[in-house]
Amino acid sequence: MSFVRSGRSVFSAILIAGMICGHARPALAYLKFGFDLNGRQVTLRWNTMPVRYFVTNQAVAGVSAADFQAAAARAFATWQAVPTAATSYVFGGFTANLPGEDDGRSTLGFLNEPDLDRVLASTNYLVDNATGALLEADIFFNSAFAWSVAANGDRSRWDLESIALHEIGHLNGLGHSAIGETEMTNSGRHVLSTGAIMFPIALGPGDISGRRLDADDIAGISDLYPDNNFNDDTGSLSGRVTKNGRGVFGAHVVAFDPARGDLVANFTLSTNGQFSIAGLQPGPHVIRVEPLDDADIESFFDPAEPVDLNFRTTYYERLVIVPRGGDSGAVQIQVSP
Amino acid sequence: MRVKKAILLAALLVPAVASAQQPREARVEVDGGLHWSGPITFAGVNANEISFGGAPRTVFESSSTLEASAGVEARIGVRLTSILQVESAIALGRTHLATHITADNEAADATITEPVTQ
Repeated sequence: MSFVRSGRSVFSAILIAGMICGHARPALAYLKFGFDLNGRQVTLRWNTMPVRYFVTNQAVAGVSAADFQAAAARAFATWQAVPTAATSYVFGGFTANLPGEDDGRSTLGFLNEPDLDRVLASTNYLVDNATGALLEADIFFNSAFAWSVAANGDRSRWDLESIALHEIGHLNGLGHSAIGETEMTNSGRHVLSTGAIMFPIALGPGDISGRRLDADDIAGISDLYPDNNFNDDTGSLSGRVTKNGRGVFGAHVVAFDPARGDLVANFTLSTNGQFSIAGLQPGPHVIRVEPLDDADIESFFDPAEPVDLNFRTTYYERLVIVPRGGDSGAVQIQVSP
Repeated sequence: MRVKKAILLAALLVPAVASAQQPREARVEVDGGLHWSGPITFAGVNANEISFGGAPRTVFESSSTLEASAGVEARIGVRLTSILQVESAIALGRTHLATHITADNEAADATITEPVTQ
């Protein structure tokens, strides 16, 4: 969903207790947010660093404003510590303003939204229409849920630092990752495991394992804000997924590094089935292609997009060598219904 | 008569002295042959995700093997001095790097290979 307001576009990405909805269409490269600007794909990103953020001076049960700021600062520090990405953040101070206000300040804080009974937190963007540069990104945390900043977590409360880490990924311009496994139960979709902090479904109250980044997150942020050597030291893998001779849209393509165990992924993002995964360590990779069946499609794509779920999980029959500083060359992967 | 015997002895000794001095000259050795390398199995690496509480959950398991290979080998050595020899060798062989995928709940076991030239 996007609309123009005062010459600026607003996008939103939402973390929900059961799911996350990413309303912006992913760009044709990796898991970055992007949008169409007069027929040109523009990637959503900050053009200047450090990103200055503010925290609403408001407390909820168990979390003071100072606690909130400290947990958010730890989450920002985790992103900033990625050695291959050039991001930095600075705390601007406490503010009486609430997240969601177009005040030119990126603000994090609580809002009580009981109607959003599956939404833990949400990130809203203010974007320069001409360049795609982020101007402001606000994150609200739904105080209708119980929150915790306890060092070891609280089994009855959501860990603020973990959810902040996910939302700050959106603040950076990252979309969702589908590296995770779920199962459907009578009570809805249940998360079994996640392989990226940007997976759209949180594991549950009390879990603090989401305070760390995975290989997919690191590749994503490094691809979006590469440091001087990142593009020279890593490589990419690209190709096409087809079924019965036709391109498959929305296939989840996972690159597995059998030497390190890293999982990094993207989707086929065009109707002819093209995909590209950047930020990979050089060397052989296993490619696994699966339908997008571990989260709601709306968490990744516009509902109108022709996402194909009717094919079997498939391993490409060859190891693909990712060259340092280059691309594997087009890999042709056939899947079957 | 004694003089003649002494000359003959000297003549017999000369070749022996010359032979002892030969290693100081440059000498080139070339040889070649076939070689065979046994398979090399690497430690298995699992594709792990994190479940509630931080415990790893395996999506699939992998193990990789550099398969056995045969090839040719050539070597050249140049003796520069009596104690210094320079050698160079080249070996060429083709094999396959194979990764075996197992324990994937969503897909059958698979063996994925890539030819490797060594």
